[in-house]
Amino acid sequence: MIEKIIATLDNETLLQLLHAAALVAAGFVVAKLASLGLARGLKHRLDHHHLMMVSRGSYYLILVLFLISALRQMGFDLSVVLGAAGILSVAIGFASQTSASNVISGLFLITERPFSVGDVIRIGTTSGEVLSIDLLSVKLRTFDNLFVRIPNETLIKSEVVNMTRFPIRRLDLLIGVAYKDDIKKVRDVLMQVADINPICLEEPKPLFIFQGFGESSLDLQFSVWAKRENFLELKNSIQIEIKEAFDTHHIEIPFPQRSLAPGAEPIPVRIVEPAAKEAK
Amino acid sequence: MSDSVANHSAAHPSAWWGPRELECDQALKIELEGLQLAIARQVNQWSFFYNQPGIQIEDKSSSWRQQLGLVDPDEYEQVARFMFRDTHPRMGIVPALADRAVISKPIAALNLPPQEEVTIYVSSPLWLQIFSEGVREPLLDIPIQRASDTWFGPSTRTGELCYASRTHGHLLLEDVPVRLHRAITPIVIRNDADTTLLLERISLPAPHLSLYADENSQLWTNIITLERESDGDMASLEVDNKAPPHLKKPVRINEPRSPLQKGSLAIRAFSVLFD
Repeated sequence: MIEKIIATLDNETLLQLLHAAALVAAGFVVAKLASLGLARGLKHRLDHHHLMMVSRGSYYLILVLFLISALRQMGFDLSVVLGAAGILSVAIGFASQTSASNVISGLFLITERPFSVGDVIRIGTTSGEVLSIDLLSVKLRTFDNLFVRIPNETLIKSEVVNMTRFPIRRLDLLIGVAYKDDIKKVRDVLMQVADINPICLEEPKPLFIFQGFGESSLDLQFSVWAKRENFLELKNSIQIEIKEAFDTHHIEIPFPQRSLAPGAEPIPVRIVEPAAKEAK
Repeated sequence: MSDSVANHSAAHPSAWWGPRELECDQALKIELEGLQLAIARQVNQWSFFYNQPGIQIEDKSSSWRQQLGLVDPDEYEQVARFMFRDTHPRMGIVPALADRAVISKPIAALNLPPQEEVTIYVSSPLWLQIFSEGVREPLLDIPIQRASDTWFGPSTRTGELCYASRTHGHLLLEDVPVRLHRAITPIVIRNDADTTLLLERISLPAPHLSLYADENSQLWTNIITLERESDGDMASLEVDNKAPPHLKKPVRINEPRSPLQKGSLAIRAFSVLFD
């Protein structure tokens, strides 16, 4: 069998075959060396993702070049191959639309840097720490320790909130106080609570806004600032302190209220003691 | 602890800082401006128990006291324990300045016209450090009164975290009261620009300053000069590397936390803050 194959090939084609095989082998070696060399040389200039792209890209590029020259050596007419490759790439292009869009979105994300590894981002209802920014997607770790994969396309198309970009953060508290309370007094009490709390920043100054006359209460907004890392601690400590200060100063945070009025006069509601009830 | 500090505190028993000697299983309780500190020594460990007061709106008069006695750990919120092969009976209590810049707001804002100069005496909060014989770093480094955080910078995006302090900003040396838990810095402010400088807040670079004690055990820092050369809030800071000249027998109590390499530094000293 083998002798028959060798007999059909004459010396020239065998030589060409060997030449082509040598080119392919050399291609593998050169591509590997070149990609490693490039990676080592640019290690300090580019970050991990760019580096990976450059080394993989150069590897495949050089390999393809060597393969093409090997094919030419074998005598194949490349125009046929190119035609077939053209049709194939259109087909693949249609099929891989989303993946291609993700790759390109990834490239834009890497260059634009709206966030980087280690930042905490919120997209839609998901928020978490960025673990990696990969070619097709970004990986997050949510605060309850779940792994989330977000396609790059989604990140480019929609609003992304980077919660760790700026060093200080404002906490907006919406407080309702009873209609009977003196707003100026409430303001003074709130400002004093903010003053005494050490992690509440003195500047920017706490903001007091009277939002409006609500259904059951006077709606106030009290905004305080803290270092980003202290945000949660401030949220807890200042709300506890506000409640305590309100209790001390007899400022009421009312429950939702309704008045019953059959006509002009409201119906009085009187609580009857159990003992009096039994006596009846 | 240097000998000069030890000698100074021996000569001035009214000072709360200085060396202390404790026997094994002995404890010392110190109360300083609302800070309650208990120091207990055992064969292999030093324990520090303390309660820090909250932010004081009004400054009380200066007082401190100490006594030997039993320590009930439940009375204290914070505890720090240090283990040694053998504890040395001697340890030192040393005052220190803040570990961040201190933003001082004079009670009333001052205006400084162009080509004018003023000297303001600004007070800043003090930290308490405890050193053990043979250990270079302090075992304990706590503020005597917890100061409030504040942001100092041109916007909410850039700037630095500092401590906020309210000061009287006295202009005359005679008006400056003696207070044990605060250090006084004479600041010379020179306005070489063309516009009047509104002094609403001054950034005091506390980590770059040294501490000195005078004969009344009041603590002072080096004189600093803030020279405003052009319009805006930048100034060149110069730290004088000796005690203020009006002190008669100054004793250097503590080094700066981060000494300045160069003689002067350009800093943002007066900020007109965003709203």
